[in-house]
Amino acid sequence: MWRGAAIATPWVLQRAIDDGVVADDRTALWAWAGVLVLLGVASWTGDAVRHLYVERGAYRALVDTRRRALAALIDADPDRASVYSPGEVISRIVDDCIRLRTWISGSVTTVIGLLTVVVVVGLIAALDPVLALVAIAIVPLSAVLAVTQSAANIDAALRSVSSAGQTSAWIEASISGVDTVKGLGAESVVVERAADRAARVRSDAVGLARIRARWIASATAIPGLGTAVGLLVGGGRAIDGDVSVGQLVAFTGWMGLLASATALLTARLALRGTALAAAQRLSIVLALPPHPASMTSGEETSGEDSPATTDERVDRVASAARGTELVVDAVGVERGGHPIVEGASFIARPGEWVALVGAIGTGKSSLLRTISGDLRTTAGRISLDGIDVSDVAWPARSGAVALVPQHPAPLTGTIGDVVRRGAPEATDGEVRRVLGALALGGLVDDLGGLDGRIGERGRTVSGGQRQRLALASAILRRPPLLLLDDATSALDEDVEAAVLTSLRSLTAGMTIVLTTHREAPAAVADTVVDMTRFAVARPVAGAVAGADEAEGGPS
Amino acid sequence: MTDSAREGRSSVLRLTDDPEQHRAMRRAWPLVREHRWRLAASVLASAVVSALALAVPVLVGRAIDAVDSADRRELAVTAIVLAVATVGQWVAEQIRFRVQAGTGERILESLRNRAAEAIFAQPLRFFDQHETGQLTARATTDVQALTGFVRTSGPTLANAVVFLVVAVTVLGALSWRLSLVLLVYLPFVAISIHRFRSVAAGVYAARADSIAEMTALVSEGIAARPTLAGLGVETTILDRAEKIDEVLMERAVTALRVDNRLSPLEFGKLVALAVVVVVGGVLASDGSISVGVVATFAVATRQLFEPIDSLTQQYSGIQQARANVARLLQLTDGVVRDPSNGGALRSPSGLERSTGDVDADGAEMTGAEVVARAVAFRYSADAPPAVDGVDLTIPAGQRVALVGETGSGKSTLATLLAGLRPPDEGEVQLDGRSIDEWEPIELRSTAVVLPQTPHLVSGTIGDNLRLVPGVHDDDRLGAAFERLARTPGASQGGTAAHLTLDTSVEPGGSNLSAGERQLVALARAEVADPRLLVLDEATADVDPGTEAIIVAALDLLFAGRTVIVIAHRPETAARCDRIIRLDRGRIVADTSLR
Repeated sequence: MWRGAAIATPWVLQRAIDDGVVADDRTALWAWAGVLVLLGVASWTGDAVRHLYVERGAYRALVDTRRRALAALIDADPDRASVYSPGEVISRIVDDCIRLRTWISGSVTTVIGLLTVVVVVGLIAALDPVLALVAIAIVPLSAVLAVTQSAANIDAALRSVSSAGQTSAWIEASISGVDTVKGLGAESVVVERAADRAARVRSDAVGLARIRARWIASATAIPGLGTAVGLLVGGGRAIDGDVSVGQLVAFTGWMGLLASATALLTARLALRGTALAAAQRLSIVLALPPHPASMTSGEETSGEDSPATTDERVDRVASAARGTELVVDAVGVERGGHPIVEGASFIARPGEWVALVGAIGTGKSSLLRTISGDLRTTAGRISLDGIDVSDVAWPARSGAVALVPQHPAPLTGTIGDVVRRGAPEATDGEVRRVLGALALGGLVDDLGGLDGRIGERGRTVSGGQRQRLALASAILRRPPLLLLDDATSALDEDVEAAVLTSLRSLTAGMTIVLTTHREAPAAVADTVVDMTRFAVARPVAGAVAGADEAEGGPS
Repeated sequence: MTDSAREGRSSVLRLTDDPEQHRAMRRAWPLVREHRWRLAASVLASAVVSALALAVPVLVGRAIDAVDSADRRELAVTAIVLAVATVGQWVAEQIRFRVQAGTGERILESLRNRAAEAIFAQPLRFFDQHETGQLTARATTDVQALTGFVRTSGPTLANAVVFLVVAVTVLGALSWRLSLVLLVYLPFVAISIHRFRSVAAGVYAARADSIAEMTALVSEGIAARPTLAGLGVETTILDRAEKIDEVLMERAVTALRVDNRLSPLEFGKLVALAVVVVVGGVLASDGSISVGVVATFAVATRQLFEPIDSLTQQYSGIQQARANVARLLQLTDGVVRDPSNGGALRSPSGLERSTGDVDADGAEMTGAEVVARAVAFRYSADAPPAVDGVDLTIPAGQRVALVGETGSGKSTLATLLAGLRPPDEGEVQLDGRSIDEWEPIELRSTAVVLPQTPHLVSGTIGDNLRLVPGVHDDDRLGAAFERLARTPGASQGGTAAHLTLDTSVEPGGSNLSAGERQLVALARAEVADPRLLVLDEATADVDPGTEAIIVAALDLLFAGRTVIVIAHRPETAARCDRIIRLDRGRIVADTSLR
């Protein structure tokens, strides 16, 4: 309706000029003017309705795509997802989705533009067959132009999008590492390197604009030349009396519409490069391989079965959990294509504490992540109470295990909320008791209670406090198997000793596997497993992606 | 120091989601002022294109008059002139496009740079109080959002305005009476825009907020994923995303309804055309204007209002841009000179470090003397003091270990002593001069702080060492790295023995082990060659070979300078001259070892 009004306007104008102005008929003049006003009403409402529905659809698509990308990232095989830096991922999920939204919001316009071309050529043909030839000649010319320019445009657009992404990634990483930057006084260097990247963004964008400039200008010039030819031909026929003056006006009007429709379609094609580039980057995220176990087992284990949530009235702190029997049998683990652990074997009986010790690079953390189901075994078998771990999708989500990393990420919110991330149903009393036992009672008091917010992103909480908060969260979840990856490493020896003592009673019944490089945690374990026996010699420095450090590093 | 000055030290820019948008675009002028000549060239190019575009209706009118008088020669000439004008427009439009793109991208580039400068000029306290995601959004997403304005809305708006000015001049010359008739369109513009403007700013800002909130969530969520996955609750990120998205959809639809307050413009356009036809018809029957002029006006009316076709979108783009600009301005206006570096972000041109030739002039380097008087610091007004009245004198060249429980204030005190944070109360002196009086560049080349977890940039190890300001000489850099990483005592190797300046470093140093990352951080200190070194000892365990290299590197770094080390291991503390134990921000023990 909205575009219909625009297409009808030249025709009404033609009638108004021929019947009203040229024939000097006031009644006809007023009548056709009235029709123009009616077209105005149609145009108004049509535009409003189109805008609301099309744009709402585009936002819906934005939100859905982004959520799918986020979900894909969260369900992705951790081994594969970690190759992207956080800045890169943010740029993909946030910026690329916005680029896609812009593209989608214009898609209805594209369809209408194409329809306009067809209808207008038809109308001109009805007006005069010779003029129609002029109009028809425009279409293939414009199409050839679009096809030839579009390829170069896509390349340039891809470059432009990726250089913008790199700039964002640089800034994000530098903000995360601000302690180092400020400590060295490296602000100027960081800003200069950001400026180098911004300059690259500019030159790529200008390169893209050059391609588009030629393209878009040509797209307007082709119908413009058509108008000139049409005017020469049509004017001659008007002098001969074959065409009316009003029809000549209508023709130029339609040629104008044709020009704006082709320009619009051309601009859309140009944007298509950016949109395709964004879509391509997003599809890589969407296609991240999911955790392998979730593919083999299909149905995910429901969170309802979690032993932590079966009975809300259970006092999590006091009740003894039912520990898992863990059997690790001749297990091999690879990281980034390099074998790290071979033939690792040990048994943790229900309620037992097993300490994995050994120098860095012996694969302690990787083995823990394999037990938690995060990484896969390349050989051997890991079973929890006789069930093969590789048959369970997301053992942690089902509540069967919990793993506390060495460097827990800082979380934002009230201290109560942060601790309850692992166990939403935990009561205030339970949270306080666990925090107290982990020597965090003072922190709670300092914050004025569980509702006190810990600094944005937890920055005002020290590394040791963060470790204990993560520990508290895991304990309250009451997993039958608790994996602690050097989870007391940031604590001073006195505090560590106190925490280890409390841990015994807090985790009564749970099976615990911990890694450590210190004496105290190994001393309190029932069994000590020296991982050096299972370690594969580590290759040359710099060649191994991450191994044990992958998750702790940059934060 | 006066009370107000003291307050000024501890107060810090707080970014809000909904900053003042009043006169945002005008306040942004200083940011784009340097590009004013390019902007002027853009407007000029736009005027040329407009004039050539107007040739179409004018020449159509002439052609029709030629038809009216059956003048074939005049018709042919008109058609040829139109063809020439079209070619001219083709050239002019390309030039305009390039000039405008060049200008716009330069503006975006300087906005990107200003945003980055503004963020890194902020003191550490600013970073304590904002989420990384929020800051990243401010420096990247908000600028990215402006690209739409700079690349499309801005030029379209400018071109539309220029076109209107040119058109009014040309059409006024053809028939002033018919030109006046076009004014009938103005009430529609006035009413629509008034109704729109009354609510638009708030609505668009709310939408921008939701988008920023999502960026923050994604940012935090990605960082926290491994931790949350360990607990098996990583899907809660999706639950939070869903809540934010719900609000975003609501706000987006509200914004769309506000956009639609501009729809009456569509109506006004055709009303104006109807009035032009009626008045033109009456004037033509009087014989006061030709049919050709009526045709010119009829064709031009459409052309005149065509830019307004897209004004709906452009205006919302501009409103959106205002919100983004306001957010950017809040950052750039708030450049509080970081007292620890003075916001000195331009590379210190005078500072060429004497990397590697500590002994070049034969003089033994001496450390800096550090004195703290009743120094206190808290992270926020309602938080307990992290450092609570510390008095301390560290003579030049002394090596001091800070020990104490986590949260006892060791790290905070260390950053205060290095002048990285200004104390809330008391005073820190370096070499007898208050930290406040030090030139920022001079201060940071005298005192360097290495945090516990080093930040590694992607590139090579060399790129990482060049993060130290004022370092340009690769040979010296290589020598410094060799000295540190190839100490004779560490000949048995370990993984770090293979590192060179050219070893590539992936984002966050993820391809290096914890020990290798530490070594790179220590090498930075060797390159920076400060007289006061503050070091937060890393706790992550390290393979034995690398451990030996690190120990040797520490010995090298500890020589000839004042060192404050936050010691987590007894051996490290034992290597110092003095051990200071902290508890709840106070010194509880001060032991001299030698």
